[in-house]
Amino acid sequence: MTRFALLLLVVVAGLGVFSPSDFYLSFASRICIYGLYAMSLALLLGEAGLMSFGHTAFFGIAAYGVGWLSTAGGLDPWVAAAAALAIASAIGFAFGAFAVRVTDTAFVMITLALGQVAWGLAYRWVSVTGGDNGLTGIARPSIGPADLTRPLTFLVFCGLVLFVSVLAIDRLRGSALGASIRGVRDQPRRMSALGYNVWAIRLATFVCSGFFASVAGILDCWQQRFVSPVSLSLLDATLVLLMVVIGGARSRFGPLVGTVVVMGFNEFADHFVSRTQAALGVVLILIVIFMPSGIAPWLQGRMSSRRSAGAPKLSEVGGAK
Amino acid sequence: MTDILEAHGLSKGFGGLTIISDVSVRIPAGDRRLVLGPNGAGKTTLLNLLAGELFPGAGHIVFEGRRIERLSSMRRARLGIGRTFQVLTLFEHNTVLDNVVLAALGHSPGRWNPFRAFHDLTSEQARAKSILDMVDLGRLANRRVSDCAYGEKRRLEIALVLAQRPKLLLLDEPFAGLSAAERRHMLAVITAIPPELSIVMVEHDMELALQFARHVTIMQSGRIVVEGQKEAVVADPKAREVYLGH
Repeated sequence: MTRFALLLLVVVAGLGVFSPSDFYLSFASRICIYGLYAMSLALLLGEAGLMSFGHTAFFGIAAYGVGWLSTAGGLDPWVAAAAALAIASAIGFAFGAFAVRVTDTAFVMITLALGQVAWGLAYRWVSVTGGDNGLTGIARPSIGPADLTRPLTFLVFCGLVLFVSVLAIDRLRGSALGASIRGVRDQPRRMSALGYNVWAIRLATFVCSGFFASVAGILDCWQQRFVSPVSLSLLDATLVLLMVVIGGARSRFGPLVGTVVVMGFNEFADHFVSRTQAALGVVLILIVIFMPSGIAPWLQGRMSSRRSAGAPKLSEVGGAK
Repeated sequence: MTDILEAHGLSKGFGGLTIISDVSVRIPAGDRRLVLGPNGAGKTTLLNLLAGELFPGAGHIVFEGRRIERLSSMRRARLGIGRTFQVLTLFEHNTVLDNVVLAALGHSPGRWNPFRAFHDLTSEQARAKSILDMVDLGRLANRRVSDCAYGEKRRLEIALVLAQRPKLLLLDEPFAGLSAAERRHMLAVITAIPPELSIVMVEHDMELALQFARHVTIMQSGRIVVEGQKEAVVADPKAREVYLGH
């Protein structure tokens, strides 16, 4: 995984050096941001088996939080970011405490409701959110001499945040807590009988997942220097879910692969097809049929079968007659 | 001998259907108790009430002097009540060893540690290996559970519950679905469980299970009809009536 994270860093750095224009740097930053967003959702969906449509709430609350606190609130962007993370995580904890009492369809519906409530507030609470117009004039912070207003610097920053987040999520997945989370996903009844607090483990996953979605929301706000109700929309929630499903929810780097595919498709497919959304739908159907676990696990399977096909057969090794 | 568990006047119904009615049972520490009865007698429901999967409609349960009938299965597990399931509930995609390590971790504060790698839990792994040897699965430690035979999975169920360091073990039909050879193997495993550990076993296979039991409780239609020392129960005409119909 460390190798993968390093590869990610190299790709981001390579993009920075060889990118023909700021457009590609900005696009790469968005991939880092949405990649992190998708990874946060995959933590909940793939590891804990909980499908959420409410992740937009964390993404959006953090984005609005940092936007409002650093403009109307007059706070330093870093302080605003820390406060926005704390607020989004606290909301995640309070909401999760109720939400994770249920699973399956009930959980989907309750998180959908959360997302819609947050979206409705963003539209209606005009004095704070700016309503339809959103919040504008949000400044990007700086780190010492590094000026994050430059697209390349911001891309490197997003890449570093993604790199650290990938390592942190991987650490969590490989930990005792990560094993407990998967145990609760697969056999909640058994886990309870073993003395595990199933509710608390689901809640911890929900809050962790919401935390990383919030980090992505803050980066998105800084990248666009603007936040609007669109970042809380059901369409955005569906798009991120699509990234996770297409890439592979249970795969380590599947969500990132899904992000590249979906965002790349949305950005460049209109050069080749006239109805990109319909084409994306067809791609999704094909992937679900032919790669039900997602692109990344499918690729891994192909690579490992190729490796084993190239490996010497038992008869060639042991001198079997 | 002191009782590790006492249940008084337990009743449980679903809607208008009464499953268990006024059941009282005492389990002395270190007992080997067999609960027998035809299908629908309420044996598994009784086990679920004792394990905390269900809460009784009436009655109370005392475990080591403490009322537990309103505690969740998780809280009861932490007090020392372990159980196996009639339908296998294993972590099929993990190795046999990882299954037992996860079970051993259930009572450890380390289960919350996001910085401790699961595969570096050396003390839990050592204990898991010794438990796997107890249930004769040591050589399969690194095999995926989904690749194991059914009999091996049944023994793994026992290993999981032993890893919890329980004081009372509730076994729900551990011989179900096993071949004759596997049943003998399972009986040997259960018989080898340390004597200080109390066991309540629900089972259909009377002949095999009686070899393990010290006390027997026979249930029918949600009530206890015969209870006592194994020899006395076997000789009781009521027990013959329940099981043989004459």
